[in-house]
Amino acid sequence: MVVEVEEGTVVSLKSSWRRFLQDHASRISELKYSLFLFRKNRLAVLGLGLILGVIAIALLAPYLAIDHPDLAVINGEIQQRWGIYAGQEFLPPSLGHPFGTDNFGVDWYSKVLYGAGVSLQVGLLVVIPASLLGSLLGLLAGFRGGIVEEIIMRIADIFLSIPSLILAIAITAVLGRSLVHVTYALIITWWPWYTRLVRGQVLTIKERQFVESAKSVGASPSRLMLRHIMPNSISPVIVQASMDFGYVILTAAGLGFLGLGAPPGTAEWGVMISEGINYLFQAPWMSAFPGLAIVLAVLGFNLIGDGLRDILDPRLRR
Amino acid sequence: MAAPVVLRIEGLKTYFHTYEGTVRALEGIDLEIRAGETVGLVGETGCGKSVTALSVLRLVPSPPGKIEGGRVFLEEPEAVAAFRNQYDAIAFERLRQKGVTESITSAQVEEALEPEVRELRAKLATAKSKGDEFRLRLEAATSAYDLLRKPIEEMRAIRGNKISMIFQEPMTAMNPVFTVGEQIAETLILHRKADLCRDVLKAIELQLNAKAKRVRGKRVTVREAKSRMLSGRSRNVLTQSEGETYDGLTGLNEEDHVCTACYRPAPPLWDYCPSCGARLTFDVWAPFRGSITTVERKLYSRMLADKEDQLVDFVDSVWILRRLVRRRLRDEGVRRAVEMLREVKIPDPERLAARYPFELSGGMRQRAMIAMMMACNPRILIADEPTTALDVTVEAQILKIMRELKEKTNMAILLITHDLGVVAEVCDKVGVMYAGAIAEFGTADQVFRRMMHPYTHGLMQSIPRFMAGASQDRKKDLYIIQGTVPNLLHPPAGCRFHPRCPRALEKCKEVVPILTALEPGHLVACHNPVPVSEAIP
Amino acid sequence: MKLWEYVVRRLIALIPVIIGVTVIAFILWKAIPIDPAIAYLGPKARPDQIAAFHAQWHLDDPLPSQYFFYLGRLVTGDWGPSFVNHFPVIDNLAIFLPATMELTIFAMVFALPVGIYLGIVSAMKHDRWVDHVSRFIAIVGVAIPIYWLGIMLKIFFHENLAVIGLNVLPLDGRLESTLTPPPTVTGFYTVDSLLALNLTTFIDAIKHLLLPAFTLGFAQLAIILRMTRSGMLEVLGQDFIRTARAKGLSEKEVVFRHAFRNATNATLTVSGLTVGSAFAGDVYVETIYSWNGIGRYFLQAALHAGFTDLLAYLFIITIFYVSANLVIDILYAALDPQVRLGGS
Repeated sequence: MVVEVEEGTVVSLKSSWRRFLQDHASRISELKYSLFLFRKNRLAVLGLGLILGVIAIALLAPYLAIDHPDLAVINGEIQQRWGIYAGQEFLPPSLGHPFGTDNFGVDWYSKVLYGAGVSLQVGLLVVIPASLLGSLLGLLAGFRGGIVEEIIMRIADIFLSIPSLILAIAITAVLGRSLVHVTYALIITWWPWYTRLVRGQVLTIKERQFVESAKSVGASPSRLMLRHIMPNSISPVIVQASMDFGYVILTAAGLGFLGLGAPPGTAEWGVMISEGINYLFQAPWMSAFPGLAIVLAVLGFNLIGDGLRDILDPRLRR
Repeated sequence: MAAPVVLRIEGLKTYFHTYEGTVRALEGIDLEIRAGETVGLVGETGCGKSVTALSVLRLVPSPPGKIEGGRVFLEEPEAVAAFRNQYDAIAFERLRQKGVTESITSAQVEEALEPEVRELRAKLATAKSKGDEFRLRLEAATSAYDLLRKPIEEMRAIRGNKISMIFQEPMTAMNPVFTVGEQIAETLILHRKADLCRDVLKAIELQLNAKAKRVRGKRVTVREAKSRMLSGRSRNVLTQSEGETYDGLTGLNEEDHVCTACYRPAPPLWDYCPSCGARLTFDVWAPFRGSITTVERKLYSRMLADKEDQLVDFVDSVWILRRLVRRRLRDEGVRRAVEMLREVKIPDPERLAARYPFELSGGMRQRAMIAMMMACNPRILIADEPTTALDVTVEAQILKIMRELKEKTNMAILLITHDLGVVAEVCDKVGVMYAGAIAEFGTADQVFRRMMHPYTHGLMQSIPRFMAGASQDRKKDLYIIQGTVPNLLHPPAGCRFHPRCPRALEKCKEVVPILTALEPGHLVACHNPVPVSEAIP
Repeated sequence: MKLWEYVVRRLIALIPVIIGVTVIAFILWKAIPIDPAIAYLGPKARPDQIAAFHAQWHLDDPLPSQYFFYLGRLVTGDWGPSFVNHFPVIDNLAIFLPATMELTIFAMVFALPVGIYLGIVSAMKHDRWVDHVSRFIAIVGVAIPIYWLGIMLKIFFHENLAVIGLNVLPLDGRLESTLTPPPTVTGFYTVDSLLALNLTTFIDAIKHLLLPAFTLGFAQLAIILRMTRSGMLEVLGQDFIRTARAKGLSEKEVVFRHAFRNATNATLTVSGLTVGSAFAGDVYVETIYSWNGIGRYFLQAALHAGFTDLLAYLFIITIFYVSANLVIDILYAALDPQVRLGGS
């Protein structure tokens, strides 16, 4: 395909693409090597499989489930309402109900499937903002130094002095029980870890020689920050974020379990486990299966995070 | 008479089994080192010099690496060696008939000599007084001095004791959380525990005596001691005299420390006076000190007498008791370590022994390493690129220290390096390695002046030279040996150097050349060695 | 710098952090939309009661002076009445705090040594079965929610073992309802019953501790094992290990004496984290096993919007957490001469 740009100049898209590949050749080959390493790491591949499975379940829940909820808007929030199926309460796991039924006769397997979507959503809505916010603050602190760094790090330290769950419980208690508030609480709880991490990275990298060389060639501070320091600080953030995905899901479900998250009856794994407590010995499957789902999801994210860490560690490459 | 052979390596083969394939790091190394000799082992990076050293000590990291064959004899007596030559001839012939020709292990030899071995054992069992010859023959037939067949406990007794090794990077070679003195002392505690126990017992006797005579002292500087004497405050318990004159203090520096009880030197590390046994530091357990020391004396005499003593084992098993009791061993060890540090010309060794490795410079650390590894007077010191990471001036000092120590103890040194200049200056004999095999071996003179292997020839030619008034030489390009070091995963067939060799023959591509002596003491592994006429001045 | 100077410096650095925490707690409290008076007195409170409450607790003053009033009370120890049960907060804490400490200490006594030992051994015997089991625990252990583990254990020990007739472990509370708690010396039922020479109570207290402590400790064990193992692997690859072997030391000596001393960094770091996660885990474990500890107390306070309880709890927790980290920092300095003497 040929595009005429100017009179006499003929530029072919194909050659532009080729030139792009050439310019970034080394990056692309590094990427290929990273993928190769990832494939070699069987645990990481397993993790990837688990996560893809969870995502698939979350997206396909309406098609895979047996019972389905109605969605209603209550108090400005979308909530699930599941039906009541008299005569089907506490059925043990069977072919018709793979995970059994609960005290309302609702098929538990369906609820677990829908729960996947809820948990993934919370994970996404917490990890991305928290990591972005935390990293930016960390970059700022590490790069600027001085009083800016002091203030940011002191605030981060204060937040980090309170165990995450406690802080999250306190905030959620203040704001009121709802899944949205859980999300806010977790973002507030999680950002300082990224700040500390990134700042540490920035400090280390600032001392490294290639930064000296860039400075001596006359690079401006923002260029330094963006093109040199940031790309090298990113890899630990990526590793941490992928593992945090799992931990956020774990903690959010924990808050649900304690009664601070989604309202009872919602298909949220933590809430489901807490409902199961009341019928612990009659219907143990109610608590068992959502927990298992949590384990698999968190496991998947941990494995990916570990795999990423091994891949991105410059010492282990080659 | 030639010096006895300390280390004899025969057919050492070490492979690394990695994910990508088997790296043939060593393909049959032959080397001989005599007492008092400095043998240099040179070669490019990756030719296997360090692997050779590690293989001798069996320190090759074992999951990927494995010593596949060969024998390494440590301090084999001449008589045994003579018998072994006879037996080896028989064994190799038998093995050759079975098709085994290279890198033969001692297990294979012993197996091949099975009838002889059995006969010798029988004769040894019956013959009482004349058994010597049979015993020597048995040792020869079973390759009893082969390091590669010894159980690992014996190897541990040899490491750091008979064979010591110092490594390339002094900055990281020592444990950062222990002081220098402690780390040197560790070697002594491991291998010279009996001597240390004796030292401890002597110290204990001295202290018990001092306590009995109620000798009390403090540590003061000479200046302070003199002022004490002048002011009449000194009262020497040992001689019961007042106003001691300071004859004994002449010859000491003002800043040196002495014990006030006997006015003899008492360096900072000592918590009791070495001459009179007085306690110099504040003793928290003073009232119990007598009984504690008596118990210690009992323990240490037991430790000295019997290694497997039950009481000693019991104390060793309870962590806190062990630490308390072994403190004395460690202190004596540290004192001996200070002496070693003095030998390697470290200034103010007492203070340095109390420092941590990260507080020392590179040259100091390497000296401390030498002190650590020489503390037990090894028969051979293997130095793996000891000066590569150091400045040239420091390098000179280190080499000088090594030479002095060698002369004192008639130790052999295997110096591994890629710096030909160092080798030319320091080494008696030189071995040139290429891609896992010895290419050439001989005295420094032979190898540097009358080199025969094309690789050595190429190496010597590629050394850049400054020659006065040789302006036309300056315009010549630097000589380089064509090609690159072979990939040891897939080495070339035949002679490994043949792809790069200007003198390669057809034969070189197929047949591996064997190390043969073309001159007395001068061995080459080459089918087409360089004639004498082409030697480089 | 000497060790005690280091300690003092760290103590001084703690003060702004603690103050910061009080500020956050204060902000959180003030953010609660419910009127504290109504929360305490109940929905049927009369206006004059409410006004009296407001006056007593300075609830109508400007914010800064409320903060200082609260800070003052905090420091003097007047922590007010609980919103949960209307007893003084201090008395509540006096019962609940030792209960949690007992549980947490038991859990850590289980988790720390086992985690460290397995971590070291699995690094030493890389790729043998010990290593595989340890890695499995390390990876899966952190993915298991504490609350779920506790519930599963309850099911298992109730259902399955009762079938076999081995209904061994109690599932709720700190003591059988038939037994009376021992006279309070430390608040730890185990210690107190020993002091009172009451063996039955002691054994029963231990039995009740087993499941909750295991549940709490398991997650910590996984983390500790993981960090110790990775720290050890890193250390074992360093040069001085090779030197130690070249000296003739046995593998055990090399690993436990030379290697581990250098790997304590990683282990200490993670121990600090485990204190924090232990407090978090407490909340779950106490809820599931009906354990009367501050975790459960905190949860109830949160649900009741009880600000006195919440503030006291946050304060105590922060003190503990921060002191634990201080101890760990001191240990860093004690074990690593480079930290003490400021090396490279």
